[in-house]
Amino acid sequence: MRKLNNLSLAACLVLMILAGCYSELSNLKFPEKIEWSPELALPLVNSSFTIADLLNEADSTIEYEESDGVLVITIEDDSLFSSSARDFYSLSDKNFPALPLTLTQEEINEFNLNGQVTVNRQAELPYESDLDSVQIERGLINLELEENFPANGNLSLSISAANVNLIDYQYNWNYDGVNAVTTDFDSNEFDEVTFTIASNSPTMLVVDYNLTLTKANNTDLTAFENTVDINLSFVDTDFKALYGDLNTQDISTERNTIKTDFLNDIDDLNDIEYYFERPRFSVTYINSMGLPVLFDVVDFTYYKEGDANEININSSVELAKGSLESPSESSLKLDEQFKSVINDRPDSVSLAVDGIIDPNDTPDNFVTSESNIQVGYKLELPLELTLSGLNIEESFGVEDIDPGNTRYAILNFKTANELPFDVSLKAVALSEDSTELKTLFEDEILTAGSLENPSVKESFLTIEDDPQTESNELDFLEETSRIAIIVSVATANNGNEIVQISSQAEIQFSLSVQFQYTLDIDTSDE
Amino acid sequence: MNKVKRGLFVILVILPFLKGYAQSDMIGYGLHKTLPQANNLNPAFLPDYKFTLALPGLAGFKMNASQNFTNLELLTATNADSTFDISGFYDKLRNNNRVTGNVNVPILNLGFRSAVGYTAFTINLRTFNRISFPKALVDLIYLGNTGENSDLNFDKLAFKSNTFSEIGLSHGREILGGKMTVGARIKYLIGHSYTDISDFNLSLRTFEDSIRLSTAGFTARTAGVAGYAALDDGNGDEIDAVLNARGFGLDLGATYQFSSKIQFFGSINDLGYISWKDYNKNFVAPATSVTFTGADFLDDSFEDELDSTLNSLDNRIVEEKASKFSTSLTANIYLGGSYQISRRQKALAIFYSELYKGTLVPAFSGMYNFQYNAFFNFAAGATLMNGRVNNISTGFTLKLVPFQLCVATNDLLSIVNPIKGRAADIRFGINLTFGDINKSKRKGKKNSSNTIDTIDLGVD
Repeated sequence: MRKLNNLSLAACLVLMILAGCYSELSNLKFPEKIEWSPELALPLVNSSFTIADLLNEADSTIEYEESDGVLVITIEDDSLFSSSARDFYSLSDKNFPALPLTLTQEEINEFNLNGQVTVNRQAELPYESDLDSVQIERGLINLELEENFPANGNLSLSISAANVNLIDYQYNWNYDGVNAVTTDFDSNEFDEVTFTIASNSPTMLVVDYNLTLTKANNTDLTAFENTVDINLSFVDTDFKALYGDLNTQDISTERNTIKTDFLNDIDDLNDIEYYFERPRFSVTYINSMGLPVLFDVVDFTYYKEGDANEININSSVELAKGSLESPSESSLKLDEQFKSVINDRPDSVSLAVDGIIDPNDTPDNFVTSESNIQVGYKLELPLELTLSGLNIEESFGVEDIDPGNTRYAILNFKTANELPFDVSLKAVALSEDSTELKTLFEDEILTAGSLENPSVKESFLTIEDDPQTESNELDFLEETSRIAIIVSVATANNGNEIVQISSQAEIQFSLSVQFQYTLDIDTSDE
Repeated sequence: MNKVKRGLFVILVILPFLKGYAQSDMIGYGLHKTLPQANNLNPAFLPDYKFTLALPGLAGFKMNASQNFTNLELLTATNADSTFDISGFYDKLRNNNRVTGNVNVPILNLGFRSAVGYTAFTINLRTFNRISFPKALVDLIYLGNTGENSDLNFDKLAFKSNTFSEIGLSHGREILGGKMTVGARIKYLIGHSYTDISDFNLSLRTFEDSIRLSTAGFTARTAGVAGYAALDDGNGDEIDAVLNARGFGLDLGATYQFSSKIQFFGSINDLGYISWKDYNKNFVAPATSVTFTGADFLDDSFEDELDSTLNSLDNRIVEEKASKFSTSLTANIYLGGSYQISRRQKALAIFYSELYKGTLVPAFSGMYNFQYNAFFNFAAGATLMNGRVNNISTGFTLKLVPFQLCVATNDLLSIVNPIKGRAADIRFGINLTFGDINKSKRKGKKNSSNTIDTIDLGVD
């Protein structure tokens, strides 16, 4: 019994201890908030770019090449004005004489005797041209038919030219015993069918008839009273090629505009000031017609801020006969004239060209449907220049920065410059609607360098909340959604020294940040 | 005797300097006379019941979950402004931190006791999971990657998981006229899932304008369900993944009655292996590194560049179908002795060690045991491990005819003081037990003067 008591006592003691411990457990309160402030270092940007990269980024259609160690930007359009041979030469519509078909006495007798007769005929119409040779590619053949046989008829026609079948035509009529006259009209397009008309032996348009007449109402035919009349015409024909003495034709282009404010298309390059030392500009001509062509620039005007400035150019260019396989080409160099134009920073340049096709009226010419003449231009800008006011803007997104939780941030900029430019950097905090909230950094970060001797610089920007003040100096971060980097570039000596830019020369730019940020996690039930 | 004392002294001096991951079941040893599942710890233990049965559901479970770096007190500590005392939590972190979870669910335990032997058939589902992470990983999150933390090595960032079933048949019997018992259990093992990432070997180095993430190389090995889950083209035939791995295990044990009061015992368990055949997949990363230098603002956004950098690391990890491989069980040893203080009380000393990666991971326990026949059995002990007494184990079995209730823990401190506890260890279950072999023996002794032996059916 005593042992049992002791056991009970021990059990009670254990229960009391356990109860005490677990009552502590029920009083436990988990923290309502977890808060800590790690110091983090993060590389944000590591980028290197050449001028060519920037040009590609701005407009991928800009072409460039390296020439004698200098980057040359090329802008060209070889068909500022373009006309095909069909704009100057065409085929007129052609109406052929009427073709009557009458029956012979024997055929009439056979009809009257047997009640039916079938006749076959062939007729020829000459296709004549002043040219040596004409190749017709497509067109319409119109056919008008009228007959007055007092019988039922079945007519089949086949029309061909130069052994090329153009139409198969069929017409049936029934005689009603009262009115013997019927008419028909048919228009057929022929396409992808080429036939040649040669002037030395006129090409014949061949019409093959097959006519079957059947007696109706027991009516006999009378000699020479009944015919089938056919009228043929060619309309809307296009040539494939013309050979011979083609006429002289005048060329007059509309005024064409060349935009020269392309740098303004790159964001924030509006303030750019430049001087190109050796710009090259030429008007290019191409002739693939089999006639000589004379070109003459009749208008070369540049516009700046609405003002027109005409440049007088008295230079005509004659191109010899060309062909599709071997067009004749030439160009008119206007380097000196254009240097003054481009360095005046025009908004646009207009160009108009007149000309004459076959100015000397040579006898043996040709054109094809694909022959044409083109007038274009080629602008080459070697980057041998002075430059200032070139501002390159880029930005990157930063989200969810709670300024109340940021204790400090140190931004570290590192740059290396191989370009002959002085570069200053501005970093700006932007709001969602791109409003400038605060300038984080503004200083010259690079001086002009070279491929052999890049200029290296390192800069720091520290932003921190001053615990001594009541306001939070980093409040602007709350509204910051992007950080804009504005790189301002000028050639050496404040844009007064002519420098050469290589396509290999680049700017290396890196931005890293070290910051302390307070993270908090709300662990309360609410 | 002096040699024994000197040996004991050496063990006691060395033990505090050893660190280990032992997950012993000392209390099971202490209750072995009435706890049928103690036979799993030493097949030479012969329970006092003639017939024992543990059925699914009733048989309960043995669960051990532990970690070595925090407790409720640390997790609920607050600063003056009611924010979490994160520095207190951080300070208590170890260089290598670990979370371990072991669960042993007895599906079936059927045992027959004869006068001199015990035969048992057992089916257990066992799972072992461990994740370990270095303090450096928390350094990165808590302190960041600047200053001293600009060079962080995430050594020992690892994960291991092993789940299998064991179907065991054991037999133990008295020899040498009852002075000694020996026993063995042979186990047929069915592996279900295996994952082993021994170390990602990661390091993170922050430079002035770049961050480099490196690995010295690692291999992640998966098999069974884990391997199936990693397959890109799983065909839904999951049952193969669950049942196709096979293996064998062996437990050996012995006890020796040195004198009427002193008994020595020992066992070595979980000798064996599982051969994983299907759905084996390795993820092999060579020694490699990626460097993030920031976005090239002409080409990519910051996020794109970061994704690209991490993807390039991910792309270097090669997925390959692995050939058949075997994994050893974590063998463990129990050695000890008991001293019979009185008819119902005895003291035990138990040495335990795991054979973990070729090294011994020891623990030492002293234990008191009180047994009132087969009706009530109680044990309590203290375990010395990792250089300090950090575990108090206790438990009891109580026979409520015909059920036997068992509640035990190897970590009483965590139960009585959960605020400071770092582990949860509990065994709970209900066994069906019939017959008391000691009563039979006592009756046998009483009847020994008679000429006719009686047979005790053992039903209380």
